[in-house]
Amino acid sequence: MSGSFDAIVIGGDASGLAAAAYLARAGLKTVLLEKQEALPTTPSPVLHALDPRVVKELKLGRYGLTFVFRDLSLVSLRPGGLPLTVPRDPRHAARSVAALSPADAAALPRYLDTLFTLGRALRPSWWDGRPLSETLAALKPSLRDLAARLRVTSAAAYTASWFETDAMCAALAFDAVRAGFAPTEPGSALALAWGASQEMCGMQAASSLPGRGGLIHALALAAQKAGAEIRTVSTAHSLMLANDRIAGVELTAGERLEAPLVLSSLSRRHTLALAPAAVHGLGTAQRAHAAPMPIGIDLVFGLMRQPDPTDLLLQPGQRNIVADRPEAYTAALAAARLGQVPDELVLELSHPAPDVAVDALASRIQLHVRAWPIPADRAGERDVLTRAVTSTVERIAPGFSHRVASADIVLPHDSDPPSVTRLSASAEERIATVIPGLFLCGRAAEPADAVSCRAARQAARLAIARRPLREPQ
Amino acid sequence: MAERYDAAIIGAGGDGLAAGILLARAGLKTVVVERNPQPGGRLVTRQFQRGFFASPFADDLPPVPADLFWSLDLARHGARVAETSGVFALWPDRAVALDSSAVRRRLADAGRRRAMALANARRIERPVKSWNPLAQRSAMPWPAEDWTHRTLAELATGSADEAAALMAAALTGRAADPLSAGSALLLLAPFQGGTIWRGGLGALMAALADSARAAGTEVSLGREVTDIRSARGRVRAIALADGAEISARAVISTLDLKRTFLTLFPWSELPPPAMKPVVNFRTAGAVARLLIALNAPPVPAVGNLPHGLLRGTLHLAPGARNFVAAHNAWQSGAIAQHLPLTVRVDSATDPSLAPVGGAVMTVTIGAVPHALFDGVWSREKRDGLTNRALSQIEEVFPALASSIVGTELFAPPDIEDVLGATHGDLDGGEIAPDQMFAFRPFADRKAPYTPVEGLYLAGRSATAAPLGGCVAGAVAAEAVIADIAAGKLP
Repeated sequence: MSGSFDAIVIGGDASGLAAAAYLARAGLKTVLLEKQEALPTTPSPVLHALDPRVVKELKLGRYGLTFVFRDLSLVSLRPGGLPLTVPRDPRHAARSVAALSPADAAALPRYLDTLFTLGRALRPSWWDGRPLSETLAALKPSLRDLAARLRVTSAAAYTASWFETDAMCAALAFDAVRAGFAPTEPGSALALAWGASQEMCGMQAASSLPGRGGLIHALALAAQKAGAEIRTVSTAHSLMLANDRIAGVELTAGERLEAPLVLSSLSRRHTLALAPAAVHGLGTAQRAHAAPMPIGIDLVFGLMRQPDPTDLLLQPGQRNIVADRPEAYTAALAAARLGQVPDELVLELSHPAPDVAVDALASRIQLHVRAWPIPADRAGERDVLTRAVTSTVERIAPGFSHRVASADIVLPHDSDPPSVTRLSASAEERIATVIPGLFLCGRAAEPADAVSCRAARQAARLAIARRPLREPQ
Repeated sequence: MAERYDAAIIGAGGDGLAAGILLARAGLKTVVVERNPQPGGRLVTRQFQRGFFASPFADDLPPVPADLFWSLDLARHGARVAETSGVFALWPDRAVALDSSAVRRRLADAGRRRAMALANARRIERPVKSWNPLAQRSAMPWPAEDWTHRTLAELATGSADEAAALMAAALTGRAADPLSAGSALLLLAPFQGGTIWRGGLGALMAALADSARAAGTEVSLGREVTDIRSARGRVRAIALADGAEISARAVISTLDLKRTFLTLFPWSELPPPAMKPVVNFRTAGAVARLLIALNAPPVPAVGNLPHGLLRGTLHLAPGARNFVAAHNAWQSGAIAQHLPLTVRVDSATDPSLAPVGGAVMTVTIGAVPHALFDGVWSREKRDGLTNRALSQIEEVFPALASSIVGTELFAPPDIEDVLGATHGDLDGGEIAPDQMFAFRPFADRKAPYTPVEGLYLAGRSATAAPLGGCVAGAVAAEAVIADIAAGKLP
C-alpha cells in the first residue's frame, strides 16, 4: 500500500496539529501521523503561552478553544514561614514583597522592567526567526550589552545580583527551570528574558482534555477543516530518502507514504534516529560524550478534598513554587546528575480551577506538579517520583501525604537534552535538519521548552518556502 | 608630611613586580609594598624537607608573552625555561600521551583563542564618563567568546582516554562541571600547563626582583597595607599596619577583587552600586597542593611507558564521571571519593630541586572545598586528605610509600592565609562565562580600571590574568603611565 502527499507531519500533539493546519491551509495535501489510537491528551490543563497569532490565524476561538485561567501569580512556599507572593502586577508585587525585604521590593519593578524590555527587544528573533545577531545589532548599546551578559550568566547568579533575600532569588530563578534549564547553568539567565517574552502573551492555560474547549480538540478541528487528513494508529518506522532528500515515511504497518516535505514534532534525536544510519551519524555524533541533563517531569496528584479555605496549595490562580533558597537547585541537580532521584525536589504546584478537574465530583482535587530535576532514564519510575514529591511537599504542608489519593505521571514528552545554545540559535538552526525537506516543528524547535505552537507556524512557512518545484510531467 | 610617590603597588608577586619594573622604567617614582618578609606571592620555591625544594602553590605560570618577557629583562637576570615533555594520563594499567593529531588540533585552537583574547585584554580602554553605566564598554565581541556556550565534554576530542585526559588538563586544581555550558573556558585558561622555570617559580621571582632593583623600584617588605585612603572618589594614599601612610597618585592592587574592595576600604566609603559587583563576584577555591619528598624516583605500575613520561604533567586516572562527582562533593563541602590528581615529578626536569638520588613530587589536588561541611580544617582532616591522595597515587606508583621521606600539604585555607587569596582561589574568581572576558571583573569597565579613580586592579581577578603570566601587572602599569601622561592623575 502506498500514498502520495505534499507534506507529512509526524506526531499529533499540539505542535504537530498546528503545523498540519498551516500546511493544509496553504493548499498542500497533508497527512498527520499519530501512533496512538487517539490524539494525545493529558489529564490536566497545561500552562501554555500560546502564540496569539496562532489562535487568530487558525481561528481557534471559533473551534471552541477556551482558556481555563490566566495571569497566575507566583507564590514561593517556605517551610515554617509565610509564603512569598509575587503577583503579576509589578506594583502589587512590590507591596507584597516589602514585608520580606524593602530593598527587594524596591528592586523588583526595575528587575521586571529590565527583563521585559529585553524580552520585547528579542522577540523578532524568538517569535519570527530573525537571526539573533541581526536583532542584537539593531538594539541600543545598553540592551545589547545586557543581552551579551545574560547569554553567559546563570539565572541564579543574575537574580542574586538583584535581590538580597534567598527566597526572592530562588523564586525568580524558577523561570529557568520552567524553560527546561538548570538555573545554575551559565546562559540560563537569558531564559528569564525568554520567560518574560512568553509572559507577554499572558500566562494562560487551556484544557488538554479530548472534549470540546480543549486545545487539542480545537487544533484538530482547525486542521481537518483546512483539509488535512489525521491518521491515528500510524507509527512512523523510518524516513525514506531519495537523492539525499526526504522522499517520504514508511509506517510500521509497511505502508509507504511519499511526500517531498516531512515535519516532525518529535525531538531532533528521535527524528534523526528514524533516518538511515548513514545520515544519523552526521547529526547526533556531536554530543556523544555529554550525559543528558536531568529533565522536568509533570505529575498529576488527586487530593482528598478538605474543608479548609486557607489551604495554601489549593488556591486557584497561583503557581506555587517549592524552592526556598538557591542551594535547593544546586543540591538537587547534583544528586540528579549522579543518576539519583533527589530527596528534595524543586517543585511547581498549580491547581486548576475546580470546574475542569476530572473527578471533581468524586470529592477529589487535582494538583498539577512539575518536578525537577529527574535523571532522564528514571522518568518512568512512578512510585519513586511520587514518594520524592510527597516528601518534599510534606516539609511545607504537613499532612500532605495522608491526602494523596492518586498520583499519575504525565508521560514525559520526547525532548532533546536541554541546551542553552538553543536560546540564541536562529529559527533556521532550530527547525531545519541535515536532511533537506525534513523539518522539526515541535517543542524541540522552540528556543526553550514551551507549548506555543510558534515553531510549528515557522516550520510550516519554512517548509512551504523550501518546497521543491514539481517536475514537469 | 610623608613623601609622595607616583605609584604605589600592593603586593610583590609576579604582577606587582612586573608593574613596578615598567613604571620605574617610565621614570615614575614607584614603591612595591609586600606583607610577607620576602617577595613572591605564589611565585615561591622553598625547602620543605632538608635538601628538597618545591613551589608550594603552583608548578608553573601561564606563559609570559615574549615581548613582555624581554621588556622585563628577565633573561639577563637569570630566568631560564626548563624542558618539559608534555601531558600524559596515567592509569594503573595503561598510559596515554596527549599528542594525537585531534588533541593537538584542539589545543592549538585553544592556544589561538587564548592569544586573541589576551591581545584584546592588553588593549587599554579608559572608561568614558556617561550617565548610562552600561554604555561605557565597547560592545565589540571578544574573541573566543563562542566558547562560553560550549561544554568541556563537547570539546574533548579523541579516544575516550584522550578525552578524559583533555578534560583533566582543563580541570586541574579546579572544581567545575565538565558538562555545563561554558566549562570550555577552563581549557582556555588552564591552571596548569604554562611554562616551567628552571629552579622552580622562586628562580623566576628572583629574576623579577633583581630586574626591579636594577630598574630602581623601591620594594618595601614586611609591611601590610590596611587601608586605601580616598577622598572624593579619588585615591590619595595607602595606610600601613605600622601606622605609616604612603601617599601616591595611583595605586595598583594585585590582591584579588574581593580582598581589594572588601578589606581595604571602609564600608561606608564606597557607593553601593560600586560594591554590588564585588559582592556578587564568585570565587571557587578548590585547589590543595601536596609536596612529597622521595628518596628514590617514583616508578609507575605500567610497563611500557611513553617517552619522557616522568618529565611531563601526569593526570592520574581521569574520568568524566569522577569529575562530575568531585564537583558535586565540592559544592556540598565534602572531599571527593575519587580526587582529581595531577602530579609532576619536578626533580626529573630540574635535578637541583632534590638531593642526589632523591626526587620531589608535587601533587595538585582539585575539588577540595575551602569550607568543609563538618567544620574547620583540623589536623585529622588534613591527614585524611593526604592519605586519600597518597593511596590514590599508589594505585599508579605502587612502591611509593616505602620511599617517602616527608610530605607537606597546603589546603585552601593555608593558601588564603599565606597569599591572601579569597577562599584560597588562585584564579582570583571562578572561571565562568559571566566572569570572563568583558565581564571580568566589572561588566561596565575594562580592567585595570575600577570604579575608584586612581585605583588600578592587577592581580588574579583582572581580565588578562588567567590568560598570561605577569600580564595583568603590565596592563595596569601601562594604564597608569598613559593616565599620568594625559594628566588624569594630578
